[in-house]
Amino acid sequence: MVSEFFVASQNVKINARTVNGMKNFLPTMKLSELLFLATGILLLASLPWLKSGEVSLWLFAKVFYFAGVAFFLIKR
Amino acid sequence: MSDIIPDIFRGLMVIALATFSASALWGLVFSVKAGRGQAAFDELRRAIAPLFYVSFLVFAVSWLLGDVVFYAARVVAHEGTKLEPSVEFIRNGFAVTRPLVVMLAGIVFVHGFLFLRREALFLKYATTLSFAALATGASILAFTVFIADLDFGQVFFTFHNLHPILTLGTVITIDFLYFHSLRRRKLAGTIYGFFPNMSACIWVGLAIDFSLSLFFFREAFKITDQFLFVQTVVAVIVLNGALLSGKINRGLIAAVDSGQEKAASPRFKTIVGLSGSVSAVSWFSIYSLDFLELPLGYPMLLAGYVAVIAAVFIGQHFMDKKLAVARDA
Repeated sequence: MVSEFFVASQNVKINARTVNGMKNFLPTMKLSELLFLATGILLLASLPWLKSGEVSLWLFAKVFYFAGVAFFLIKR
Repeated sequence: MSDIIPDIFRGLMVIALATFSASALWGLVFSVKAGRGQAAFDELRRAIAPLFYVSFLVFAVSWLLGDVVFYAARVVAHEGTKLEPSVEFIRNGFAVTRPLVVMLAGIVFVHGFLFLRREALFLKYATTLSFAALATGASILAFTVFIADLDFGQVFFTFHNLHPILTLGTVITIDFLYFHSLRRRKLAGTIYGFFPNMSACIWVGLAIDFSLSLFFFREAFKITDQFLFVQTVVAVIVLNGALLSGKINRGLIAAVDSGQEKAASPRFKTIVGLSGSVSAVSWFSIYSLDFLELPLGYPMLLAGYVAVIAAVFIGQHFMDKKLAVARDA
């Protein structure tokens, strides 16, 4: 019981640190970089659906990608 | 096993030619900038010369082996799908590009001769020679697969073979320039400051590939473990590229600008090395798998990918240290 609590509390600590890290990290990124991050995350998230033949999320991710490229070229 | 050897050599040929064309492209850009009086770019165009010659040599050997040994002996056989070129189309590609390969060898010979023996003439004609090398290299890539009919299939193969100049070839050129910057600290600011332009080309190149896959969606869509693995690697490329072309590159420029690069934290150097290794291995993986159909499941492909990244990262770490010692000596 104690060890479970210890592990759980450590996880909370790590998560809080991760959230704080993201809060500090994300505002320093440009819009195009955020769009690329969103693309990558959506592409990874779409894999289980892609495996079963569902491609909507996979295609949707590419919209973010093209927007990212457009912003990267404009705001460079 | 013997069936995959021709595919390995064809993959090597395309990757080497894409790298060669990318080094010609960036050599051309550096020559134009040097011609406008930006002296640092003159050194950069000389710096990428080894990449230009070595990639041509690898291309020439693999092209000769492909043309004379591997594809000459194979019978004509259609594989049934539009996006997998039949041996007949590959053979056609070798036949139509023969004069261009001879021409390219001539251009590289003249380039090399002037570069090594006639300094003044090289400076005068470097831009023209780089353009000729790029145009010829790109033409060979465009017709590596030749259907002999201007249909959508030909359009797909042409652009699919051309975009590695902007993606894989440019990634290899960036890595090459990065290692050069470790030896020539005075050029580091120019090199890192120029990386966003090269990143723009990589993003556009990947956009071309995405557009092609949407265009040929119905024919191209076959769910296999290898397809899912490639999609995973593409996601990694996009995530890693966002950091590498953004925060990491800005960190490199800031370190050079402040003159504190030697004091850059080991953590930042590790991140740069890891991100560079992920980028190079990921691009190489997706292009290699264009030519190979490995009988491996998703977990095995992923394990192999992670193992290669670890090996390249360790290699890069030692090379980084070796170059730093050579620089400090």
